[in-house]
Amino acid sequence: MIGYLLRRLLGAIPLLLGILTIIFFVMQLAPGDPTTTLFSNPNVPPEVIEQMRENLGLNQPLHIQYWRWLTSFLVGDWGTSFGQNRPIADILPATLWNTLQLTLISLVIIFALGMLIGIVQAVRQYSIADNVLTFVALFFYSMPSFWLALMLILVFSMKAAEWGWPAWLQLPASQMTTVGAEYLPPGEQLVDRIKHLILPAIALGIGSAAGVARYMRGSMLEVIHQDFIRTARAKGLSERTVIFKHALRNALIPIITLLGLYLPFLLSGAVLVETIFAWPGMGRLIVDAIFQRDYPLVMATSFVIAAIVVLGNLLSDVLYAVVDPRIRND
Amino acid sequence: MRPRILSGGAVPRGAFAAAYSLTHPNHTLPTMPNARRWSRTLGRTLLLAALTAAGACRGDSGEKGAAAAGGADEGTPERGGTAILAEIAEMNKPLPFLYETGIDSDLIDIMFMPLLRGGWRDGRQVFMTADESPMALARRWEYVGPDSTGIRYHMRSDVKWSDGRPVTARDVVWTYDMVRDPKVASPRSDQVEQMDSVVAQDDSTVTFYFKRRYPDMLFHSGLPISPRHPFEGSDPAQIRTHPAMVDPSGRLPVSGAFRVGRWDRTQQVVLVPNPHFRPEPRLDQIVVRFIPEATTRLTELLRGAVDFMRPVPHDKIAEVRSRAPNVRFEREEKRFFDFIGYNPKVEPFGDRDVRLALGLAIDVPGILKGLNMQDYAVAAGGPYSPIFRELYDPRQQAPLRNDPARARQILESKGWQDADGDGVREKNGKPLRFTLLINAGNPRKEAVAQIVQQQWKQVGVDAKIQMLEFNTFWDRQMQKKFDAVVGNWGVGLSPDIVQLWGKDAPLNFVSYDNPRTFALFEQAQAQPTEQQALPYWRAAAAQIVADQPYTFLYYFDQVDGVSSRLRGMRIDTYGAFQNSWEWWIPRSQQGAQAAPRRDTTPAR
Repeated sequence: MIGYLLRRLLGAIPLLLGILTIIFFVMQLAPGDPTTTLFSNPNVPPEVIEQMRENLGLNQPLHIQYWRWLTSFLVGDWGTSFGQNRPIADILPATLWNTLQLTLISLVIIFALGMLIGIVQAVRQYSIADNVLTFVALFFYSMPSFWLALMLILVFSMKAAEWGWPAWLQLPASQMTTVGAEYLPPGEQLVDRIKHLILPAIALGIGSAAGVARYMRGSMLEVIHQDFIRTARAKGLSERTVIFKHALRNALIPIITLLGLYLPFLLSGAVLVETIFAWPGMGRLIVDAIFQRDYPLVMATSFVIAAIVVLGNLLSDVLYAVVDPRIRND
Repeated sequence: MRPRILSGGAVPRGAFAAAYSLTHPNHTLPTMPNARRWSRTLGRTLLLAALTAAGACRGDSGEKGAAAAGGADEGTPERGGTAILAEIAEMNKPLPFLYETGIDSDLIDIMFMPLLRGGWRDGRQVFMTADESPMALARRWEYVGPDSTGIRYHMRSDVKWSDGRPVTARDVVWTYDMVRDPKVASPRSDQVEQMDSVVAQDDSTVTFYFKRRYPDMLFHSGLPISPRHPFEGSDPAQIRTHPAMVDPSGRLPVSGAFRVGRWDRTQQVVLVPNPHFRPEPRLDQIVVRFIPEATTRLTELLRGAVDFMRPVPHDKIAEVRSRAPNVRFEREEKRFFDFIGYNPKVEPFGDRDVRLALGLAIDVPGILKGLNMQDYAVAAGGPYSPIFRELYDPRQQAPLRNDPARARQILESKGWQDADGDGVREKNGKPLRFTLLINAGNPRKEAVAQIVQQQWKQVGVDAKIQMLEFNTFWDRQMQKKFDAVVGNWGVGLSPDIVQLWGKDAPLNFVSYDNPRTFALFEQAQAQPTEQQALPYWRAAAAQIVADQPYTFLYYFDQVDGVSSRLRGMRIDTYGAFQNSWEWWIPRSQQGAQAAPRRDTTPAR
């Protein structure tokens, strides 16, 4: 297994470099360059713009720019953001942490809620509960996250106070903290942060949870009609043991594939939801960087996402072997 | 003074913005340009549905109207409290000779004093001395030199930076040295083109020498002054990454009412009073939160989480007003206009009569009604907004009257006829068909393009709408690779319109070319004072109207939403961030702020 992991990791290096190289050159094809966005005043003399291009190193031929970026990147120098004028090494950790807070909670919602609903539906197939949950799941699955986000804001931020709901149900619509939260005691700060997390995490997670529920239901149904489940019941095991120990483990394989697919989302964030809730995460950072033609930041964020995609796939493959010993990665 | 041209988003203000800037997202949306535009589109589209779903409009209730702040009914000002402002984007480079974005422009209006403070009074731009505004460094000024090509400013000697050091004439000289230094690559460098030198006679006297006498000398010497001492010895090419720029809290001394107390990147900037500013600011703090999505900003205003947001979409104002009695709406009047620009190099737009016919086919009042903008916009006829009392002539710049019959007649007379009966006119076998370019993320322009497309169809013109990402749109427009565009400019407060219409002017993307107009421009710019230049500007405007390079559509207000607890804000044509030291919140509404009462720790 360790040999397999090493082989996969080594194989990822040229893949990542290839991805980044393509992104570097494709980015140059986009109309405009960073000076277009840095200088909004059209009366700025051309020599001033040329000076700025020189300051940013954009006056060099493209292959030189690429080589300089690559050599710096390989020794861990990710450069300085053109837009924010500060080292990318200072920007990324804070932004990644902001995104992780949001996406981890969403991921928990997605899988915990999705799997639970899927199991209930499978176990009680064709019951009223199954039908209602199917309807609800499809409802949320087909609802775009930005629409759900706006509806949540409408109900829990705007209308909650009007309708006289208790204070804990009146939730903020933007940002990570309330103004002045840094002066609150730690416990209250935590509560404040959680209150700010609830709506975006739900907006981000609920649609995908509905999707996971559909997968889980299908997968469980397939498993619980198999012979070994009948055998397990016949030998007198409790229904709980049958479902959670025997059926669930076998039904998890497609869900693990989904987990692998969702992992990149942990770090890439979600542009729409982050924008609507003014959550300063990776999604907004990436889109900002692209629109500002902030080349160093685009490269750095692309690397983070590409790396997590590769690692996510690798993790899925490893988890397959964990849940199903018949699968061997050697 | 001269705001910049934006695509209908937040308006950068400030005494030092270019007279005409562009419909560029980064002016409106500094750190997240296009994303913000599309998200705004999304938000605006969805807001109506969202609000409608929540409950029907309950009718109008008490609008305070334009420039309502500062009224006698506001009560006696009290000290304390935190004002929370929602801005579309993040602070970026809060230094007068470096800033590029709207939010920076707003913050610089609060943080840095110019020699003379700009303002807008009685339909014209004014420059205030220290006797008229505490935000002006100069007590008085006079023209000097045999041809009056210099301006000498006599500065107050009692003004201190927030770290306690005096503001002197050497700071003025250094500021302009930075603007001039090519290594700095200052976006304000066009302001020193006519400047020979800036000389400090002593600590409180500074003289600007210009190459010639011209009306904008006051404006060009009106850049807010930056502190020299934190940057002394730094490489000018690296000034954008100087520690005082990367983390201004405590490192960037200011002369204005508030300084940066804390900057939580991508979230908020907390401004605290400058302990040396007089009169002492009334608020304990101003927190500027960055909320890119218009719907969320509006929601936060309605629920009382923020005290100020802009722009409130015109079509939502009536509805929102009825839902939020604690919010007042104020106007930054007629600072923007929309138009259709034609590329004369493309057949048939080289013909002035065809452009006129296309304009006559458009029903502007109908568009305004359709967009619910009729209370906040007026039909436009020429290059001067109605805010210019001395330049706007409703007869000379009368909007085109919607007259499809005359439009048809003109097109027929020019040989554009629908011979094959397919509804599209043609001439020499070529149909009257072209592309109308718009940028993505501006729902107003999208709606306008669709309405205009339909109205043109009625007179046998077939326009295809093409929507492009902003940077691509901008590139196409500036490289003159388009047929027609739906464009949008902010209105500069200087009468000088050469940046838009001058020969080879950067923003003259419609290749406007009339020697008569250019001669009038030259005469206007050669006049020693603004007053003497007015007749030439008026004549030039009349010529532009006659030439119809654009179909001018309408001038419109930017509407700001302000919570009723935030008082003393002067909002008018000049902008919303003019008098931050006078803003106040009644003690009874200051709430249980967790923040310390007043942060007056000296700057590092």
